[in-house]
Amino acid sequence: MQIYLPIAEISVNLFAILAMGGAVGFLSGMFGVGGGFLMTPLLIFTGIPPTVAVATGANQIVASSVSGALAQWRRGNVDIKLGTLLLIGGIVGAVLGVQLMTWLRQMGQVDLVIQLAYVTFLGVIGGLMLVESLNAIRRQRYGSGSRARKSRHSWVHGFPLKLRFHHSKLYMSAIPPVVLGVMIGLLVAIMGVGGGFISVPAMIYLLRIPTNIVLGTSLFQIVFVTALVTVLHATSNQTVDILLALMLMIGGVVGAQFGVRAGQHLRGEHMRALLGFMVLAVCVRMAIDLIIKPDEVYSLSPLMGAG
Amino acid sequence: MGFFLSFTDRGFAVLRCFMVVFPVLFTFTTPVLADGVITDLTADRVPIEWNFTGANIFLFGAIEGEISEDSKPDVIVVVRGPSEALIARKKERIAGVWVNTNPRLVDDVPLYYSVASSRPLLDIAPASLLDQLGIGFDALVAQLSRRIKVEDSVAAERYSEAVVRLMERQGLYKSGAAGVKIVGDRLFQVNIALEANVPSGIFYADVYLFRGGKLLGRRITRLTITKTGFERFVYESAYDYPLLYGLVAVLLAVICGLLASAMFRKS
Repeated sequence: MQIYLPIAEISVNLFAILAMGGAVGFLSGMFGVGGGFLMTPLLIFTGIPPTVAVATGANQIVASSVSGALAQWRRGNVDIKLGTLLLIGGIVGAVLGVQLMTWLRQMGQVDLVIQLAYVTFLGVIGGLMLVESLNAIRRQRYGSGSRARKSRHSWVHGFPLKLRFHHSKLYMSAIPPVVLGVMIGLLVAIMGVGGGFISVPAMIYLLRIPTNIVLGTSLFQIVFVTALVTVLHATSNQTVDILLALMLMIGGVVGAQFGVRAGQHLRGEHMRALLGFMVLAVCVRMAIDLIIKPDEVYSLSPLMGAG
Repeated sequence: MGFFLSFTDRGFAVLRCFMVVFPVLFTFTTPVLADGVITDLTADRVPIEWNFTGANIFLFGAIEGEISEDSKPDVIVVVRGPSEALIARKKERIAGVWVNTNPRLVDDVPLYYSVASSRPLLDIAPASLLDQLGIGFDALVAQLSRRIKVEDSVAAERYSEAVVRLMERQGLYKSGAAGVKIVGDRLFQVNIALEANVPSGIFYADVYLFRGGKLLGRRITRLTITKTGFERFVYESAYDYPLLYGLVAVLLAVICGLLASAMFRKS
């Protein structure tokens, strides 16, 4: 059944969009990430204007992460203090990001920047996750005794303004979470992602926060930052398509519930390896688009850059 | 396929009306009539609703004036949508990556343009006349070239050719040498195909009557394409009350998420 989208101004198949939302929701529930790094490219491949895909993606992540965040909250996996610091940074990043996006659209470079951002972030993060998780799997399988846990301190723990995070059982500077928050805010605004693929590994590997707390706290922060980005895009760019978002949400929240259950049966390192693979696949796809000669070298956009 | 599916009852009615009226008309009036055309559309308003997947509008017309065997009249129908200034860019390889460069402002680009004719355009009229009237892609390219702010005329043409090509690829520009079907001697019909991505606004269907390479008559019909109902409500809310719209979008997302969470917790 075809449905006309009022803001994207194209007609799409209802069931295709629901299925897309469901599939991405399943993965997001399983891995505790927003799933936007899959959703945004998929929407663009469907023919949705990139700016609408980014803004609507952010809106959809609110729905998919609010249920996840609530589930994590009930399990006591949210560190409020850490989450608040991330959120403060996130607000700054979101405002800057939406501003930057408006400027890039006028320059005609928004697609390029989105793609470069995807290739860079996904390549590095996906590669790191894959290597780390495969090493972890190998260590377990062959039982080589060196399972000694690494120090709880990395270079980021050298910053001043130290605070005690009771929930995470950590004593660290307030600066890294705020800086991380700014980065995530930027990513939400520019790439239409929840930022989980950055915040989760950064908190696990750099801040050395326990994995369960990382998932809960990042979801907590994602809810608020994506909500803010939705409102900012709606007011400055009018690129939030409520009808498209609703379809993605319905598919997404249902998929996410099943994803959370499926995730409980997977081991942490296996989950990370799987996620690493997927992140790398999207990265390669984006890189190919950038490098291969396009069949049409010209492009058109409205004067105010709405496309 | 679309032709038969979309051939509305009203379309039939209009055609039937012409078929009945014309023989009668010519029996009782003197056959000396000024050269000209009369036209009608199957619909002069196209609503974009939630299930809009495009539309087929039929334009029917009749040719007035004398018709002789040796010089049959030709009809060209041009439909132009609302215009807007667009920016065209060309990608170049920089450090191995394809980057948009050289932006050029193209003024007054029609967001929809379709041309249909009873025979190939150049068989109907000379290129100079077509150019002057803005009929056909070649004329459109020439027009757009003049509206590009660029120093070099070759580059201007490249850009305007690209504009036409890109719009054609999106289904917004169409051309067809056999698009106008002449029924008998005097009646003609043309299908105006509107894809789902058609912009809303006021469209003008321009019907040109040619004979022996000369323009004999011209008639303009208005066609309005508007978003209606829910589509219009959402669109207008997004632009008129953006903050409220954004907050509602977030609220909807929160409700949706919590509802699902509550539902699945029970089960």
